[in-house]
Amino acid sequence: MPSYELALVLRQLPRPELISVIKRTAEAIFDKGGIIRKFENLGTRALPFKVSEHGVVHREATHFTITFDTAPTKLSDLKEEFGRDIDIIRRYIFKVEEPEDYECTLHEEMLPPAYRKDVQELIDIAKRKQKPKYNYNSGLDYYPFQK
Amino acid sequence: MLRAGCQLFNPSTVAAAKTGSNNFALEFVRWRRKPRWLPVAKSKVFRVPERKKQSEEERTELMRLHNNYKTQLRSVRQYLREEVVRQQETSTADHIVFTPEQEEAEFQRCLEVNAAWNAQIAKEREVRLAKEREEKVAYIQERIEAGKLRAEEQRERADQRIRHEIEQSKTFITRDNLDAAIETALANPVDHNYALDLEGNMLRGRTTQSLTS
Amino acid sequence: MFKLTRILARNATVANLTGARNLRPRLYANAAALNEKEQTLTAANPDEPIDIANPYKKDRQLCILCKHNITPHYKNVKLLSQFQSPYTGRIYGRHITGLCKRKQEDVEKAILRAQHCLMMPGHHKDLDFLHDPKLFDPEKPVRPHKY
Repeated sequence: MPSYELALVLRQLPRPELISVIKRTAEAIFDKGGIIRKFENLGTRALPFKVSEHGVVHREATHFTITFDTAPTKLSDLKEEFGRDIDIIRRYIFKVEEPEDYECTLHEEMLPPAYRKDVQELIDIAKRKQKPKYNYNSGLDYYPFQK
Repeated sequence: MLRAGCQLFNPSTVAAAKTGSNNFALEFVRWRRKPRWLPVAKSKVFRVPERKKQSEEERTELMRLHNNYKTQLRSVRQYLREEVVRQQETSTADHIVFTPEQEEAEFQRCLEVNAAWNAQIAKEREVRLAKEREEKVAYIQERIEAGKLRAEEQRERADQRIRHEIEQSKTFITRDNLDAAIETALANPVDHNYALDLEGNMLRGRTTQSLTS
Repeated sequence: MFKLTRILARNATVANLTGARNLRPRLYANAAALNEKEQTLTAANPDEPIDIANPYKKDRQLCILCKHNITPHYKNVKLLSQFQSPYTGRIYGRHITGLCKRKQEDVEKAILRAQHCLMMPGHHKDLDFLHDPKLFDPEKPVRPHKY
């Protein structure tokens, strides 16, 4: 089962209700056969813009993330279930990605165009598309083909 | 241009043009013709072109000339064909003529040479096929070894992952410790924010403005 | 004319100064090693060109995120908003930020995620981050602007 991260934006609520909302979502994940790894509270803060959700305008919210494992086929069910919850303003599920080895390519990108690999490929493509052309300095004093 | 053509296209100038005195006008006469895609003029729809009658004498004379011509050409063709056939039968210009015994001997010699070639190529083929077989065996052996190694590595990695997950599973949140986990999470807000400056120093914290504060 | 010569002279001295610091040890090291080799191998012809590595080769450039091995993440809004215009909230392009292709892509993706999750404004920069250190100067892009 791959790891996912559920980013929740919760309505401004008193603490007991907030706990019940989080509990509800956690129970939903458990019911779908998931494993919860971690809770993270990112704090209660004013939203960057007002958001109208479930017929209410929100200006403050609590950001909360849940890291969990579940089968990929259950994700749409979970999203649908959280979408019906009126205490949840936004819910996004992101895959937790392993860091992979990567070499910085800035040096190659900063070379002059003629030395850049992508430009060279473009030039090659243009060359391939050109028609064969008669070489005028081939020693003949006439154009050997029909014009 | 068109207007000039219209002016020129009256009977008197056409007549003058047909004498060939003025090339310019001639071109225009041709150009003023009815285009091909226009239908037949109404005045010419029911016109039946007149057909010249041939007299009986004329017809028979033409037929006779035609038949003469056909017959002569046919005889020439036949003569040439026969000549080619005769040439092919009698001439020995392009091949050597053998008696049947010589031909048989030649055939036997060809067979022997062919058999010798076949034997030689068979020897070479044997060597080559043996070498290829050996190489293939070695290649398959190598692949099998590599596959075993790969499977071993994969199993090792999977085992490691499983051990890691088992280690991790002690910190997993279950239904039993759900309340406590939520309480601790709400009590300890996490801040992932940090800013970077050009020296690579990290300003941790959302509202931190400088390294000293 | 006089101005031109003065500029040329200044450039030349700067080049000498910068070159001297970096290049001398490398050059000397190569020369010493090659001298021995030459005496043994091609003592017959000392005028042949010696084969040395390019002493003017530049060091490999790295973008700032690759240099400090940082992966942009959507929860780290402070870092992401450093790549955002304070006037319009738009993401600066690669020709301004000086990032490599991959990191720029990561930054853009993370910014979009953060904006979807209501953690980051899209039409201005968050007021908390207005005085963060500058990583680049939008007035001096690496490559010219498109407009």
